Amino acid sequence: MSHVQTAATIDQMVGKEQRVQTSANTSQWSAVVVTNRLGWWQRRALQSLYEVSSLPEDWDSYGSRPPTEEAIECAKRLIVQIDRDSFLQPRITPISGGGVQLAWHSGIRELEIEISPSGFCVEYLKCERGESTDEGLLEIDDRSKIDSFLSWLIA
Amino acid sequence: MAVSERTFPDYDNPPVVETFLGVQFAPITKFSLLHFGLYWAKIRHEFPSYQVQPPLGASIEQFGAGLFAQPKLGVELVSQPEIRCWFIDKTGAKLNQVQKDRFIHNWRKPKPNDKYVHYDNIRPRFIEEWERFCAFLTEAGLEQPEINQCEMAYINHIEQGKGWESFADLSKVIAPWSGRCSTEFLPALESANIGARYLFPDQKGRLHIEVQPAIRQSDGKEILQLNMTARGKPESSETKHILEWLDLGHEWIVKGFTSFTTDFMHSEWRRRI
Repeated sequence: MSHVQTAATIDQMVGKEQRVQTSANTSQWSAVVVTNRLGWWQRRALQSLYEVSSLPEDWDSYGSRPPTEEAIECAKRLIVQIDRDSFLQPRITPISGGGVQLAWHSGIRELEIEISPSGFCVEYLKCERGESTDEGLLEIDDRSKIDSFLSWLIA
Repeated sequence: MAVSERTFPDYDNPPVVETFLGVQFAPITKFSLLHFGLYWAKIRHEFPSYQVQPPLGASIEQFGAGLFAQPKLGVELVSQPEIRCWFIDKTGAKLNQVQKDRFIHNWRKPKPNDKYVHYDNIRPRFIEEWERFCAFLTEAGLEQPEINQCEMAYINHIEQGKGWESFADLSKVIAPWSGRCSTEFLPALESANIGARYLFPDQKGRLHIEVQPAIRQSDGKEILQLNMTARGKPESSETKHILEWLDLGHEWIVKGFTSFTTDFMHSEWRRRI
């Protein structure tokens, strides 16, 4: 059977976010995120993310491993694909077992996005005055949904 | 080569974090997915890890007004998925990249404070790996590659706080960048991407220089990534001609790097020659 290598399949292979320089499009091995088109908050968020990724084993003294490469990669994709030059900087924290959480807080509202160690399962939680108002699964490439969450947060 | 024998510019603490040497050739039509595994079996004792990556597009330097190497974009009917395989060595410092029309050998600093490995040491490693790949092709009954381009690159990471703090300091790093505007209208520079190209004499190749702001994933540091890439066609596919071209590319990268960066940064990097 023939495979048609279309732009769509190439997108899937290299990741849709062209702001990020990856090994997918260069011979370069050392991984960097090119930041010329990222906002200040995204640059700070990425720095926090990579600080969290370098946590030692047993960082929580309960034997947990640091966030996995997959969880970090997924969080990176989430951060760089948000098309807002100015926004609130998320708090980035590791989750026991190798996941990572991004949390935004604005007034009475809070948005948490939790990424599983495999990077495949992403869950969100919206809270108002500390009470959950909505929760569920999130597709990491669903930009319109993520954008609607961010709009809700600062509305 | 001993330090005393080097004649090109040399630094005690250069910002280079990675070097790669590679060749591009006409696609080996019968190179199938199975051959990646067969090749890996030959090198696995030294390169125990692998990763599957999307293939790189073909880049061939064109000469004439306004023509540069451009990866080709398009839709292609293929009989099996196109892939590139990474084979990573035990130390995490060396990598062989293979696809049906490319062979690339990378060296990188595993840790920021590790010592930079000179071209004199990487060159024989590349040839050893390239010849081993060619021997594998022969053994597998596949054609020998017809090389259409050689490529080499130095990836430099200039950390924020080591010679520059903000983009207003770009002129302290990049020699051809004046940093001065003609009027007072524009505010401080927020960010900049610089791309420059220089032709080798006799259309033997081209030097591509790219400066981009970036965050390094290994430690989250803000850097200026300065990539020096030389590309061109060797006289033939013979090893001696590949080496001849790579030596030329190396000369252009090393001398070009020193020319493109400032004396101020040369002091930061402790220039010796």
